[in-house]
Amino acid sequence: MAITKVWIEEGCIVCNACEAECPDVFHVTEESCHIKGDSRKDGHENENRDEKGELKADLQSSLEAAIVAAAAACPVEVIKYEQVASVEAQTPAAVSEAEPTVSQTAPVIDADIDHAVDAALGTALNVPAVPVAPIAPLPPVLAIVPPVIAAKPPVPPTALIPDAAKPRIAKVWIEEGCIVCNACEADSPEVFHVTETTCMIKAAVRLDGKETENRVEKNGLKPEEGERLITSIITASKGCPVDVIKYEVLGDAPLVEVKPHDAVEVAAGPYIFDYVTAPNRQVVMPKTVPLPSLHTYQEEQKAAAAADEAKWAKQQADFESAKTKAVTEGKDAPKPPVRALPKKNDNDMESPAPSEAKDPDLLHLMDLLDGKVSQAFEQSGELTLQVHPDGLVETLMFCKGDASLRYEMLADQTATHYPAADGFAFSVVYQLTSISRSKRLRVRVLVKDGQELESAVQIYPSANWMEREIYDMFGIRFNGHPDLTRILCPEDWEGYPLRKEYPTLGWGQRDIDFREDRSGVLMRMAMEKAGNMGINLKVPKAD
Amino acid sequence: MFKTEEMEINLGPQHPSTHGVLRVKLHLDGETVVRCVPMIGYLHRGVEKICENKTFFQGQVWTDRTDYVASVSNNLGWAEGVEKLFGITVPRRAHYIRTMLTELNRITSHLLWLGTHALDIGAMTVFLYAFREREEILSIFEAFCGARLTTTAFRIGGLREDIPPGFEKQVRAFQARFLDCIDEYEILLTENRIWKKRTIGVAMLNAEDAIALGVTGPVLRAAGSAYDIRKAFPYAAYGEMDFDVATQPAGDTYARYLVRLEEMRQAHRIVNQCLDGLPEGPVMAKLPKVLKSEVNEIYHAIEAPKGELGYYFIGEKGGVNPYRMHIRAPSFINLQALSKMVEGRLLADVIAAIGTLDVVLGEVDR
Repeated sequence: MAITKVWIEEGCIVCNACEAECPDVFHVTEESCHIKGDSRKDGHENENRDEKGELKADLQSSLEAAIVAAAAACPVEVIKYEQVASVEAQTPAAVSEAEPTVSQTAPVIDADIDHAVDAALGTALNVPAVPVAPIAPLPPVLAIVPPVIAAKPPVPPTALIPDAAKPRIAKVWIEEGCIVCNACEADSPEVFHVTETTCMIKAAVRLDGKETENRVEKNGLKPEEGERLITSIITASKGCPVDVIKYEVLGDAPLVEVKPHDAVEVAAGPYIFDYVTAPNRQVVMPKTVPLPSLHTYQEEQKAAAAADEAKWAKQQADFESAKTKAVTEGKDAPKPPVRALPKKNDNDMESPAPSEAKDPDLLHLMDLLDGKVSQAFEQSGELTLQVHPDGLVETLMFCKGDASLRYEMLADQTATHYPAADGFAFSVVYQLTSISRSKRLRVRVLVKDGQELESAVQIYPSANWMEREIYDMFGIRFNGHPDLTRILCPEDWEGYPLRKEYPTLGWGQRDIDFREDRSGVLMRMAMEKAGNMGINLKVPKAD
Repeated sequence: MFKTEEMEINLGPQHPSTHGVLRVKLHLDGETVVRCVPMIGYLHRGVEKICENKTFFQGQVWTDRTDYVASVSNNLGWAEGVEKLFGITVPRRAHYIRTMLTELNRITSHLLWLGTHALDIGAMTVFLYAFREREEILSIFEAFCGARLTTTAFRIGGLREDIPPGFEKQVRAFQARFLDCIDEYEILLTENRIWKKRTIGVAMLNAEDAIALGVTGPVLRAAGSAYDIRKAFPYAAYGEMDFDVATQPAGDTYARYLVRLEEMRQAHRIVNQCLDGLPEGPVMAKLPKVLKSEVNEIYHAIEAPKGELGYYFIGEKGGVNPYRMHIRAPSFINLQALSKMVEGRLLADVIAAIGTLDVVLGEVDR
């Protein structure tokens, strides 16, 4: 099938649509659309309305689809053409060489093929120029498999699909929501191409030869590719962490077992800085939990006193045994042991020790918050009240509203990371100030990693930025905060800088000890790693 | 035809009136501010993280670089915070010298504020007058510790050295003429018609809102609340000093101007008292060579020129670094009130409001 003649009827509105579809044939001037001289046998460039000159033979079939599309795109429908079924122009070279009779004796198939191609390309929308019986069971993509047709004797079209029993992927497309994780490209590099913003279906495997997400048009895959790559595509689809890879399968899909992909883990959990494998980042994780507490202090003191007592008892026992031994041997008795006095402190420094809560404010609050107070103590002249996270809002409301407390201002709010702690990860402290009574109080809550805390903004509006800062620096979320976004770091910052596992040195080039890297191998690896993270590092010039 | 539509503009981050890299996103209806969103973080250096990895002695150097126009105040907050954490008793003479230098620093900070704030509003001359006196105080700092801005003036436990010879004379010479200088600024501004029109009733903030938003310092005192940490929780030698807390009832830009001028006079008074009553004795406490902390948690706040400057420390057993250090920066908290002060007002008042809050972006972003 081919288009022999094209012409423009009167009424062109110079809209350029046809030139956009088929620039080889149409040329839109200021007044009308012309058929290009290059594409015509007579070489004239005009509307071709009266003379109806033929197109050049080699263009008749190759530009057919484009001309049909242009005609369909014309808003005033002035592009007319003459379409004929031609045999010799369409026969692929390979086919005619191998078995010329096949193509000649099977013009119907060829016509079907063309129709199928049209259908596949979506261009034969409303151009029933040649009456062709639509053959539904023939998959459209079979059409461009000339070797298959050539190898077979001429048979009815339905018999042409013995291979249809073999399952294959007819279509594959990417739904919205790609997170650009590269997992699919790792599984099936021939089909997927992950760009900076989304994943594309590669042009090489597609019928229309375009590289897009294939979401809207849902174009088919080349059948042989669809058959060959079926396993890898299903693997990629199952491995996608956000399940946006969709496909249509013809026949029974094979069972594909998918191992969890590395990229899935990265996408699922929070970003963790790998301080074990990057020792140069100089992260030393704390081993202790320096959470000031009266209870812990008393336990420590008791243990130290017991150890001291045991040491003294041992010294005395040693002395007794030595004395009896000396008496039996008739020697002089050894000197009795002297108990060591506590070290004398001649510095102007005395470490403040925590003591029982005696302050009336603390006692009053412990009464009010019956059972929600974990502990209350005084140290360095400061009052600390540790409450259960459930009782936090209640505590703050009492502190602000109670007539005998009147802590009007939330002076400061901050958090501390305790990675070595058992049962909690952060302490959040609220420094309250009573302006009218010149008094300060610290309210402390312990939260687990990932646990949400109730926001204090409704009670103390000054908590707004401080909670944003805590979220920015520690990743603690506050429930009911009006605008919980990062405040100091950029909004796309990875990680939470004031957590203890966050390195003080950067990533990329600084992971390398350059004294050890004479050959530059480590440098190249770091560049690659940084590139994978989306960081563009420039190679420093050698001197 | 006229068309009305809200417009969104950015003030800053590089704008001379934002005193640093502050960006303010403004939604305007004509010239009226509908919504104001301060956006910060352009100068964030992670001082808290850095100080967690420095010893208690090294960390003080970083406090110079937060509020860089009031570094002596920051040094005092750090030194006293660490002393509270360790339980160190500082000699009385050191307290007096610290108080004196901190008050001189308050004067420099207020002078810088006065000059730049007046410059923003359109009074050029005051800037030159204010910097003339500021330069003199910076020379006093230079005589004391060798640096004009990044002073690191104090040590944990006291001072590195006693005041140098001739220092007292230098300070007294400055003190002798400074009150007249304040009168000069007042002649230029206090009854100036333009100044009053640009400041009276502008950027209002009442005491209730200020306390709710955590605003402290001269901005709170200009709203009528006499909250001054030097009086409420005396530290250094302030308990022995005789001075008044300057307050004004109005809560507008003009009131804040009056409060800061009065604070300079009171600072002058305190410096004089420190010089007159300077006790004899050592300036450094007796300390072990290596300071190792016990498990303790403290919050120590001082009255910096901008407001309540708090240091929060957590020490671990045997630690030479703070386990956690947090700065409660007055500029950071005070800047929260900007939206409240300018919404519904004119665009030109935003400039006055940023100036009157007296924020230093090094301290806001830390």
